[in-house]
Amino acid sequence: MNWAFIDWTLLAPEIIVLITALLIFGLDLIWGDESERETLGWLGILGLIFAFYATLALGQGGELFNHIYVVDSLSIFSKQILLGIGVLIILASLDYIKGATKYEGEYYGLLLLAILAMMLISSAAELITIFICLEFATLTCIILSAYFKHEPKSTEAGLKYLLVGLLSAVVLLYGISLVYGLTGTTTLYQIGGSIRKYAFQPVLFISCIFLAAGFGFKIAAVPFHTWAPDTYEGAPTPITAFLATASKVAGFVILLRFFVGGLGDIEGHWIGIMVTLAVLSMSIGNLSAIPQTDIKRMLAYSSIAHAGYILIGLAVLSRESLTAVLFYLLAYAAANLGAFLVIIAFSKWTDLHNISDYAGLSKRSPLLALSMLLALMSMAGIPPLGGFIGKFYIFAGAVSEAVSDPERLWLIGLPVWGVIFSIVSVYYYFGVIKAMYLVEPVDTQPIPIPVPLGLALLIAILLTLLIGIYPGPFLALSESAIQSIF
Amino acid sequence: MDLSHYLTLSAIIFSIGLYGVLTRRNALAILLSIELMLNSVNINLVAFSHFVTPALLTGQIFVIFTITIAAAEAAVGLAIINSIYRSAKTVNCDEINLMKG
Amino acid sequence: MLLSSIVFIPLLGGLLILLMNRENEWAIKTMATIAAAIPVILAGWLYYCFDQSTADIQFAEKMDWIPSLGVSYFLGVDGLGLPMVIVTSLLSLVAITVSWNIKTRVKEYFALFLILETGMMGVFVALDLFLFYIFWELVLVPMYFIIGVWGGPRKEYAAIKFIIYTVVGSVFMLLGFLAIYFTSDPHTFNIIELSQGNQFKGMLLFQNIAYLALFLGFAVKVPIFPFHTWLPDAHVEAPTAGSIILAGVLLKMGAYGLMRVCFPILPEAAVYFAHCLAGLALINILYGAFTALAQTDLKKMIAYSSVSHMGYVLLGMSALTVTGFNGALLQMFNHGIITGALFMLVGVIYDRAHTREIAGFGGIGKQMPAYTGLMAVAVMAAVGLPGLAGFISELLCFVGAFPVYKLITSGAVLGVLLSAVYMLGMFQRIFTGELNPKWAELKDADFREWISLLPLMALIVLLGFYPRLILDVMNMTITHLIPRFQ
Repeated sequence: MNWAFIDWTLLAPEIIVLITALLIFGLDLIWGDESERETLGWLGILGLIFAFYATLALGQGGELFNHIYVVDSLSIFSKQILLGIGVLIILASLDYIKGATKYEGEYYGLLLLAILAMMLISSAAELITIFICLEFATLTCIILSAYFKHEPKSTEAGLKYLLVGLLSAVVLLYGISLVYGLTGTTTLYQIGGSIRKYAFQPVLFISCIFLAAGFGFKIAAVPFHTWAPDTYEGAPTPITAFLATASKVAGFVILLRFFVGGLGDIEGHWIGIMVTLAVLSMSIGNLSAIPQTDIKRMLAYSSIAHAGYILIGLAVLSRESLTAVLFYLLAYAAANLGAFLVIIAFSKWTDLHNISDYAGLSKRSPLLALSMLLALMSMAGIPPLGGFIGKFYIFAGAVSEAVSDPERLWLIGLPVWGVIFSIVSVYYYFGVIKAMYLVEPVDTQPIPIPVPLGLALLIAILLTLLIGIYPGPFLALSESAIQSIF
Repeated sequence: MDLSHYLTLSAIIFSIGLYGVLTRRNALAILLSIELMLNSVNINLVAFSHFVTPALLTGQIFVIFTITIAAAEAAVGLAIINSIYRSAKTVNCDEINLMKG
Repeated sequence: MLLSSIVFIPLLGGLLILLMNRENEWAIKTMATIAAAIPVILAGWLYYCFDQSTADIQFAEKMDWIPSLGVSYFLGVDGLGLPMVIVTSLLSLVAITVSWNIKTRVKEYFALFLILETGMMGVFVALDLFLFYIFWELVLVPMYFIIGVWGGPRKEYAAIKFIIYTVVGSVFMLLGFLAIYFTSDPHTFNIIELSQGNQFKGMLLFQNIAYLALFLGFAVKVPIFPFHTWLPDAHVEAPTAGSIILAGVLLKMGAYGLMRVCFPILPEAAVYFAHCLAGLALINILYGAFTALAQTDLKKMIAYSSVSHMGYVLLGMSALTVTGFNGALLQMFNHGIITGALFMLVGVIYDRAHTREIAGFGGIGKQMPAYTGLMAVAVMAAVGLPGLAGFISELLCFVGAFPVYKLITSGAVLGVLLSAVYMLGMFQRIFTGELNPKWAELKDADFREWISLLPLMALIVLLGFYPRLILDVMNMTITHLIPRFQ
């Protein structure tokens, strides 16, 4: 390996984020106790924006270290989403974290490291690298979930995430070891080449199950979702938003790269697994969301359900459906961030988390209520919002395959199942809307919106609207991203 | 001693670990069981490395990494269990249930 | 641009209202009235310019919208759409003038109403299935709020029931659209292309499945028994203006969808299911009439009479003859005006008496002579008295259907008899006899009420004598449509 020939510019975004994170840790250490830690948050935002700029300059990308680390359109797409999410989360955290903990500076540093880890995940294309990056992300997220260490709920959230996360990591590792044993190599690129010879291999099937378990944890797909409700509820709300969006994006990108990119030629081994996960996630996620009273917990179950919809795209495995996966992630992230940002503003001010506490929000704070309304409607798939186009595209991909190939007519069952449960989802999303608009407020005091959070909210909601009304460019972006693996 | 012996050993240890995770309620014991499972995978990796790719050391290198990661996991895990113990005065997972639904 | 203006001027007005000061209620109401009046003028202009001698789409506007999905922004009217555009614009204006007495949350009310109008208009002029669906769903959320915020005592229940029923129907409709899109060759959402060629000739199974999916969506809106149970709740709880729009326009969306999408695109399935539809029509007519007979609540009675009257529309359609179709479409137009007037009259008396119990009134005729006269015209039109609008359309439906379904049509005539019983019975119990002393203070219809009722009354009489005003518009389109079912 000749170091001179490594194109370090491909790593520019990661390096920028890393340096910013280290800078934040360093400054946090040397600054006196009285210093304003908010500056560190702004520094983080600056770093992320620079990194975003750097991703724009990556062009066609390339690969590093003999296909261990690939910078292709998929990973660039994913990094851009992750950096965008990071900026919004930090904007929302600035006010939230102030005074809530003694360790403000490290919070931003860790958040940046978590983003870095997820950026690495989206480029990792070798088993060891994938495992290390996944663990990197999991560990930072665990620490962030348990960040309010004097709040029992927060530490409990961390513990649940820790135990389930480690277990799934080990299961994943077992699956990875089997793949390695079968192929004798650890780069996905070579695995794809040498695995093609298997018509059906029981060991490979088992390892696919193990791999799905590991990645299923990251995307919170049933039955590997048990951590999500507790962790979402207990973790600091910006971190919940981060887990619900960034973690899911990274999880799906690695799922795509591993299964579609690496094991794409032996899809018979894993399509059944994806179908099972999709069906279970849609049904259990949506049904469990109905009785929830805590809004974060409700959104946790709804995010599980959304993982189910997205998995339809993987199970169908066509160019359209995989494009739809990425597009859906984008729309989902925008709408979910919108909803969580409203929750951040609301819970910071009132310290209440129940859906019934949102009663009369439309009178207390019309803008927050309107944002929440749009975000929830997008998630429920009501046009003309982003979530609708996402769902439409996912279902369209499935129907297209089912209609054009008589042997795969069974695929029609997935969108049918999906629409049935999106009706269920309308019910619980409208439960929140009902509370906000139809019920009279108990407390009429208006809720202030901190300026940075308002800015983040505006971006998220405008994006949700834009994706719905003018989806063309976003579809084009998703399509070009998926071309690097399928 | 061929590959299948190692794989069987690893599978047995993995299963013991999984059994521990599912039955033990003490957070520390669960953490220990997970470490056990991790080590069973290490056996797998080393065995594969020896029998499948004897010329390369990929598997062995992988094991070095997993051991390192296991150490990091233990550090974070113990810290969290420690802080749970401070607030809840227990590390029993059945009693740590503030959130339900 | 004419059609786009008709569709989007209300939306623009709604957005402007959202920016206005909530204290200035007069300005908001004036703004809303203007924004609703412009489409009426434009619709009149549309009627004037409409070429009655052709079945082609007129005033077409076409633009690419989401090219990768084959979605275009395609508007146009023909003989099916134009009458509906006129009735929608008219009833929206009437509903807005009726709403001048709204006192709570005026700003949101009028903004939502105008958004609602955009959705309804869009449904009747959209000629792209995707666009059609977007407008279809756009109607949903404003109506939810109008029922849920400004409705009666059980408004929350009625609102969520309305949403869930409609969503259940519309998502299956969406799946049907997708199936049509992917089976057509080349793939297209263009309603005109789909309904002109013979895309699905001989694919009876496919046609039937797609037909059933679409039918579910439209049947919930019409509503066709047994999907009608949302309607009484929604009608009773909705504010007066909401009821006018629900009965006058929203129900027509379902029947229009059958005429515009279901029948022309899937002609073989339409023929296949024609008998079932006729049977359902008979059930609708008789069930609606008998249930109306049993009602004690005035509004609920009129709601059920709507179910019965929409049965005539279905009966006329199911005959698949020119006369039947003409009758059905004319009945949609007439029923819109008549029920609109009836619901408004109910609203007038409810505003004053705060009750709708038929038995609680009596002898109102002497107290409110002008109101009684107006009510008499509306009731007679609903009964189908010759010389008023309802007569001609019902007659056409029967004449069209009789040669095809002799038995069913004979049964359906019973519905007319029943409607005379319940309508005249209601009239007698409320307006004749001894004046209940409780109502001695009731004031007669005021100027605003006259203004909003007069155009409807004029149309009722005018169309009773000269139905060709509308019949001529739709004749060419229907004559071209019917041969598809031979």
